Amino acid sequence: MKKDIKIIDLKKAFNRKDVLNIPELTFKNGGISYLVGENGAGKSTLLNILAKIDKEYQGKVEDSFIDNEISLVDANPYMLKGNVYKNIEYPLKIRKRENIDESMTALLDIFNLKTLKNKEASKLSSGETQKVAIVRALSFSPKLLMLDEPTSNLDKTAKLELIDILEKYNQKGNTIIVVTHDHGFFENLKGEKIVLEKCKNRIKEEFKI
Amino acid sequence: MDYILNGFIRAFQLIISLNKELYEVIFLSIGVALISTTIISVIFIPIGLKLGLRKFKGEVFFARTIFSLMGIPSVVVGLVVALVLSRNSVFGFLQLLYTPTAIIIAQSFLILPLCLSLTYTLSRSKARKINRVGKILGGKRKDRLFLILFELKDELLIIVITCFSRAITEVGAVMIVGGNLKGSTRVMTTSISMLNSMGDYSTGIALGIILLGITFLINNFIYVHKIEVNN
Repeated sequence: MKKDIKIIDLKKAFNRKDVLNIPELTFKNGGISYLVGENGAGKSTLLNILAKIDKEYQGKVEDSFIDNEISLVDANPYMLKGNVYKNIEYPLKIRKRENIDESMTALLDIFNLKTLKNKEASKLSSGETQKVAIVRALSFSPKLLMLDEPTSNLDKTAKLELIDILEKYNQKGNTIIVVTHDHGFFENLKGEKIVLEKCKNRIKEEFKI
Repeated sequence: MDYILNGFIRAFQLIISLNKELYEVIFLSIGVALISTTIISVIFIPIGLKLGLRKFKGEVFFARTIFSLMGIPSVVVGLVVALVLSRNSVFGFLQLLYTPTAIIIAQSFLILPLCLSLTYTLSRSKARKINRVGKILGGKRKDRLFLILFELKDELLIIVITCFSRAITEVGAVMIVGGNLKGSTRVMTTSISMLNSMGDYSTGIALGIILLGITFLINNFIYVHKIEVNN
């Protein structure tokens, strides 16, 4: 059983400007959390820290996830060279999973991607790219899934499909954190809403000689 | 104008008749350029990729310096290498001046900034994104390295070929450190320069055609490959 993610006195600055200053915050294990806030509030920065990509910060982030159990979908996902199949297969390959072909067939079937499987990833539309990136992130069944603006390029049907997928994924006890401005999204999928307020970008004291 | 036309005819005769001296010069040119390109690529492509992946102090200064060094005059490189390798200098005991090794050293120093800056720029613009995806999907350091190399293999190949193209067409530094010695350090570019001075246009044109052919093939390959990569 995984523990809740606890953030204590987390501070992060870029070019001497504070972008994150969170005294205390908890993400429930097995829950769905929405991170909302205006642009520049540090939502994506927080996701990077939780995904252990960004390790340059002050304060404490306590969780029981190992790197291999965390997955993050960027707002503008990068597609690897090759077709859709190769992209979704990659996380399974590096984990040396058995029966990859069978897992892939099941994944493509569940997410209605059979028709796209041989399409070059670089030639996908933005909506298709986002969908493939989400499936790629889910392919290895991470315990913690984070999504940055996952619905920004999705049409209504795809949004409903995604909500359904995330609901089922969450029912298995996995934790989901979503950064979104899409109110329709969190109205359809119940979860905790966390509002991040923009830091007052204080400039640290300068010592002039 | 006749001598130009005769030059072309003589050139084709030399090429077809497999003239030994001509082909020695061609093979030496290709050989030294290949060796210098290989040495620099093997060492500096990983360094360029690594430097581009991380933020470090003095990054701007480093980028400015290597980009500036790309424009360094080849004769200056030749002069410095010749000074270092000359008999009474630091590495004089190695007796490398006027040998193919000296040419390889000069070409290596010449293409080093080109290789490093192109790889560094590529790494900053693309490898960072690929590294991030690798991390996000749970790739370990080794997985991410292979992923970056696989994803950027076309771009890296273009860099290697660009360096080879620069090395094989180089004349100033090669003339200084190689000395254009017959049967030893005479390469295509220095031969053309010498033949022109001697008025032997036919052999000069023959070498010119071959050098042009090689660079044309290389640049054509790069152009086609770049289009493919961009698509």
